[in-house]
Amino acid sequence: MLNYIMLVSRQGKVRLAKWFQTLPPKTKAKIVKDVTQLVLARRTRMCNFLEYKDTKVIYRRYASLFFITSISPGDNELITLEVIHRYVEVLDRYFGNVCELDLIFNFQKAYAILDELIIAGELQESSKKAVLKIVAQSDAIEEAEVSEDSLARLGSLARS
Amino acid sequence: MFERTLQDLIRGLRAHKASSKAQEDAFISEAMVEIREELKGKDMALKAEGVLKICYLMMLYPIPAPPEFAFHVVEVMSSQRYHLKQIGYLAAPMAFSGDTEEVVLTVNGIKKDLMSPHVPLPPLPLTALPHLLSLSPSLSTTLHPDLLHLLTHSSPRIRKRAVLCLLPCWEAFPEGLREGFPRLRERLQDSDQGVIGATVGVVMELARRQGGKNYLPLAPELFGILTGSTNNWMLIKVVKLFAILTPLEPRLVRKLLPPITSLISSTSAISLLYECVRTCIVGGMLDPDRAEGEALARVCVEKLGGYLRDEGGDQNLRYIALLAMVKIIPTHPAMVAEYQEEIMESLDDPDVSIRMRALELVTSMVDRDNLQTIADQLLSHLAPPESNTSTLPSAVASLTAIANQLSPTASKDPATTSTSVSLSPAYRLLLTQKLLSIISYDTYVNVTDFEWVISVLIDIAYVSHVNVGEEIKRLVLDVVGRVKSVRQYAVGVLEKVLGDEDFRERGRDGTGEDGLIEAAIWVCGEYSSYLSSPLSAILSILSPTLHLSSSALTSLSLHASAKIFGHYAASISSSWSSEKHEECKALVSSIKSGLEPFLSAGDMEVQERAFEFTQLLNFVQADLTNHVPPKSQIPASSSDIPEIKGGFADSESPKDDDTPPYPKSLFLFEPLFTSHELNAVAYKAQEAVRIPDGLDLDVEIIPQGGFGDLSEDEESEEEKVAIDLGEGGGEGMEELRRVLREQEKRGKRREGETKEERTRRRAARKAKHKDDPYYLYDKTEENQEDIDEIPIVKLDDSELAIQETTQTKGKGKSKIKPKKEKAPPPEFDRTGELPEGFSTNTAQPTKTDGNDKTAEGLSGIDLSSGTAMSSSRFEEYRVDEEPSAAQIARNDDMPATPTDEIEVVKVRRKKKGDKKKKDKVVEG
Repeated sequence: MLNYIMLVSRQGKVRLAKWFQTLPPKTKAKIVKDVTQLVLARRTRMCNFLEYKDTKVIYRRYASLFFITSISPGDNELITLEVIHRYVEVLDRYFGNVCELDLIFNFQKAYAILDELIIAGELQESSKKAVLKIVAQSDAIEEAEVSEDSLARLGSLARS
Repeated sequence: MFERTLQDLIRGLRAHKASSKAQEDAFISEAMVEIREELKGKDMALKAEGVLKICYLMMLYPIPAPPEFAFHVVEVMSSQRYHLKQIGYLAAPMAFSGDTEEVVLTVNGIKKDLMSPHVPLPPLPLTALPHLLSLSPSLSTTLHPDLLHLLTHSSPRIRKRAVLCLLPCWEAFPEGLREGFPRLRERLQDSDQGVIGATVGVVMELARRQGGKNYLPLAPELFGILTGSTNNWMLIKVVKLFAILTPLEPRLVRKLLPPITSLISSTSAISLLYECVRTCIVGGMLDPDRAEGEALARVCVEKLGGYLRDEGGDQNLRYIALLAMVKIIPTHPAMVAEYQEEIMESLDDPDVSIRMRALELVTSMVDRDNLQTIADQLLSHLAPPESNTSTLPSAVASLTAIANQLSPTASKDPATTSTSVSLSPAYRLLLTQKLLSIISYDTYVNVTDFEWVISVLIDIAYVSHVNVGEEIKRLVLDVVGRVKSVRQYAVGVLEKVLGDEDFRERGRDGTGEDGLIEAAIWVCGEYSSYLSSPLSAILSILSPTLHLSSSALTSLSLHASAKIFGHYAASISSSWSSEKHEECKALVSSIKSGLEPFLSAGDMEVQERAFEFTQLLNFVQADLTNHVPPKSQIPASSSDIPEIKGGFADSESPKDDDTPPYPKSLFLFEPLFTSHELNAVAYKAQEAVRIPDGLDLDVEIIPQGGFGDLSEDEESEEEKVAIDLGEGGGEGMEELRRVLREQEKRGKRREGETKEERTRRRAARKAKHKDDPYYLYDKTEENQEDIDEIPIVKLDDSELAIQETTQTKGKGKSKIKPKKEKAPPPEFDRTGELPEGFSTNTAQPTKTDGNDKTAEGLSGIDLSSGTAMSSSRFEEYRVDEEPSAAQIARNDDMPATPTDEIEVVKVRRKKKGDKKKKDKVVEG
């Protein structure tokens, strides 16, 4: 089970943070700060695992972004890397050659996609296609609703 | 009206990033004002956008959520629009904190969404629920039935999410597990692979948290998945789950071996392979008693070793190989040892994660044969690269060389002396601690050469640059104390250490070095007979910079130099000559001048020792000055120190007339320090010390009836009642008087007193004494229903016994007369000494005896067996105490409480005595 997943830029800015364990905000802030520092200090030819307190931090760098997760010591490190990679693949498919800016401006989409992949810290859907299909469906609903709403709003403006 | 969208906000933030912090802050606070307006507005779309913006800002900056943010989120969650609702559920985990009103407000909305016939809707709350459920136990209780209901939803996507939500739900609402478990089990047979995968995941997490016992019945289903599925994600979980189950049901191993072996040999996914290997190890499948277990272990180790050997291979695989090998070590150390070289190389890896794993593995690999190699390798990591040849001979020989090399670099930050991270202080500390622990592991069970140990300890002190001084000191003293044959060597090397002024200077910075200095000073003093040059040793101990050291070190130094002088003076007597005479005179005056600064030292201890030592030296000096080399009858102590004159000269002179050719005062010092030989103390020695004859700790300090209060407890109570019942004294006293008067009416007889009355009487007495500071009152007694039935004495005693056990553990030395135990060479006192007359044979019967009595005396009370055991170690106390304790227990009218308290005093006092004794030894 993952404890959290976060995306951190090379400058140390948090681009996304999803917590699967309940912690007080102060603890979270400390973890983010410490782990970011540790991960950013790593060099390229090092392994993707770190030990932080009694957890393991599994991270992987994609371009300018670090994808960081945490697991308990008994968990499988390699499969966690696979989970990260799966997430990146789906993001890449969805945005089409994803870059950091995509995630900055559409951070709620990045969350939505993550929610399709992982729930309560468990991978719930391993198929990229299935995830993309669901996200596309929800996009379609949103689009329909938004256009409906803006029409309604225009109507109400015209009336007033 | 201008509305800033999320996009605008982000663009604005990015535009202000380059500018100053103040401008950025101004922009943020401006944006926050706008967002607050948007949140308050009626337009749901704007509100949702506002919520989203807050989420974004809170993620990036440490800003507090605006007031009532959670309520706005609740509103957005209840929106009719799917995409707005989605934003609400996204924000909910960030906005809510704990079991607050907001969560309660959401319950109905969530229920409605969960049960919505519109298929895209239920997944939304299910996304946010894991977090909300763990926040709020009440929510878990409420929503549990709904989650169970969703387990049979037609959409696999919803079933899957519902399964995953059950884990946090049961975490907060454990009762639900009973009801929900059969429903969860059904999901293992689901038609959808994703649902099965999620279910396996949940079962695995549950098993991990509660232990696998509840989940053994699932083995058939899980086995079906293991053999039938090709989904690696799921297989990994099943395999991991079996690792938890097999230790509980060893029969599973035989069934699992074929599928797991085939997975290991066939799978291309390393993650799955690794999981299988780990399950084999953790699940006890590598049992050496079984032929296939041995073969499987070989396969596992080879696979893992392959990752290590793979030059330039995946660092991740090396990491996991090291990690898994640690677990194989206990059963198959020989197989892992084949890869020792690769593992050692990993210690040099620039990656700290790999190094840590390698360190862990290496320390668990240590045995008699490789201890020196491994320790030297670890040591070379601590030392700067150029001096990493610390094999046995060179380590000692190049000691001064290393020191000289080091001294210039020592001033620099340790982290900058090397390019790699290996010298970060935290890592160095860990490395050093591991090194020390492998050497001293299980009382040096792996050590074959103690000279090597001493030299390594010194090397560590020189190169570690971390604060392990105390530990090094302890080990040096321990080794020198236990191993007689190493003393000469140790003194020789430590003498050199003392002469190293640079090193001593470093020691004053409060890092690890002063520990070694302290040890060196003590060892050189205690075993001064081995010193090659006592003169220079004294001079280096009383170095001109000594006054810069801590007062503890200074007093130790003064004492050690006194010991060395004593030994030196006694030894030159046999070859007395005029040169020696001059040499001795010079030494005395140089010591005296060395002591001078400390005569006015601020520290009491230092000053006292300096004074004592100087006075004694004054005498020796006078004697030396008056001594005439040829046989002359000048009394040895015709000095101007009258008080010594009487004691020394008178006793010697009349006995024999042929005065020795040397001044008698040469023997003044030595006997002060050599009356006892110091030895290591056995683990249980302290407990086995017999109580001296005539010391009866059970004698009551206050004789019975000595106090008026106590006499009340006696049978003679009626007499007192008859005389005077007094006035006042509070409620308790009134009660007491009432009871007593009733008794009086009954003809001043207490034979008829019932149990309740007695209890009441005692309660009244207690109440009376509650606030009396002079009355030792046992608070624990309050809870007891009938104090007469309970031998409180015994109870408290056993507690104290435990305390005492922990306190006596690990105490260093004692002056108990030695009872030597010979060990095969190297002669090595591993067990330590026991007091005279103590043997395990005599102890054994008493021990069981004590146990029996404990069982009898404490029958009414349920004590953990551990307590009873540890109390029985004190058989010496028991024998004396038992009768009285039992007596008290049986005799209802004996005052249990006061006796108890007096015993507490007794035990404390005894402990103090022990401490004193030990302190003395440490000083000496």
